Amino acid sequence: MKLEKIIVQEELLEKARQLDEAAVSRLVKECYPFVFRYFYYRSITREDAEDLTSEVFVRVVNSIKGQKGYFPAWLIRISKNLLTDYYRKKGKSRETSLEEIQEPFSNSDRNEKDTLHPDDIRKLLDRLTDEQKEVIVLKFIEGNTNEEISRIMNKSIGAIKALQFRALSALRVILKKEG
Amino acid sequence: MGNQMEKLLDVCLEKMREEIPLDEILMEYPDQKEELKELLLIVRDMENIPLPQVREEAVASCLTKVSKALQSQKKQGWKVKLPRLQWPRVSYFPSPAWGKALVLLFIVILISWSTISLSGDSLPGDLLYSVKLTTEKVKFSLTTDPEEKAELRLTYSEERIQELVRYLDDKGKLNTEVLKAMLNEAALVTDNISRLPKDRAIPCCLKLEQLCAVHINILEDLKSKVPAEQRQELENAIQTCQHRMDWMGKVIRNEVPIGEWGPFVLNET
Repeated sequence: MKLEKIIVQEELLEKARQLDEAAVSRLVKECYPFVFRYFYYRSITREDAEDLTSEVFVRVVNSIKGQKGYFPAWLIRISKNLLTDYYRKKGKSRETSLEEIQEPFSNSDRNEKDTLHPDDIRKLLDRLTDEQKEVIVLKFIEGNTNEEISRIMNKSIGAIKALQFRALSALRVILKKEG
Repeated sequence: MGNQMEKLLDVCLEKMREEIPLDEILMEYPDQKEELKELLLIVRDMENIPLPQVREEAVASCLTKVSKALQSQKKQGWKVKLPRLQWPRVSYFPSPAWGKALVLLFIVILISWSTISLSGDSLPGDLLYSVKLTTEKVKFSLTTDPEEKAELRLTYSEERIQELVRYLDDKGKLNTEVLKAMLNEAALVTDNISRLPKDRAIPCCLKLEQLCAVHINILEDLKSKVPAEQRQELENAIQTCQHRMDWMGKVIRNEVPIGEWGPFVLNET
């Protein structure tokens, strides 16, 4: 089980809100992988995902003083807005081909026992709706609980359970079709 | 059924997180075993996939950008924030746009009213003189009653003679255009009188007669101030006023019928 759940301490957040450089720097380092993965699983190139992640943190710094509520939900909201702008700028090229975004993983990343390759996941997720994709990433890649996901996605826990069931069922159908 | 499966799946996922073996979990739900197994295997596969590596250079680059943004934020904190000019919010209107429109309308009305007021004292050749004449034309066009129209003509004729006097004082010469306009306005009064019944026409004729008398007096006074070469025009104007005054006297005394205005008839058209 390799879940990397985002945990941000309130004390660190409070210092970051006062624009304490060390606190902001630590916050960026702790949250960077979470935000990067949010973009990475949206079928965009690694370079673009990195650029967008940097932009998210610049926006975080510019508005953290007034930040309220659940921090990961706020991060996702900023990321969503940026992603919408990104797709708008790219126009109809949202459907980036997988050849374009595939990248070699280090040998240590590859496990012979794995039935799915990291690129397979991106390919599969791309066939789901945005909400299904989001619930899969937040639950099974980021390791969030239903309650945390409901706060991030602003939905009831019941809706999250239904969404995760539909997302997994859709993945099962896709995998069966593709053999 | 779907709802039940959603709940069952969630219970199984919780158990998986507690690292209970998959077979052990599935044994508890023999009826849904096959469907749950497929879904849980997908989850297990996904959770076992290595996460994408974060590049150190990318994090360093991000930290540099963040540091710049942070410095910029701190600098902004020192700046004195001036209050933003905001449009007044009036609760009577459904949106601020209504408030803006109302304020703009008020400004336009205020400017128009000021311009019209200032143009009242203007003389021929002044920037606002054309505004004054246009205002008079508009006012006249908006009036429908012939008696009121006749009143307006009398007022305008009186206004012209005032301008004539002031112009002469300022420039030292007679403005013949204004003199003609004064005579025309008085002549056009008769056109409106013709459209009135006799009982309303006679008072207007009296007013015109009186106005002509005033004109004659004023023009007589101006004789000494007017340059010699323009004196003849003044004499002609006095004569016209005299004739008109006499004719109005005849109309009032019923010596000539209303509508026969003699040699100085003028029509609006």
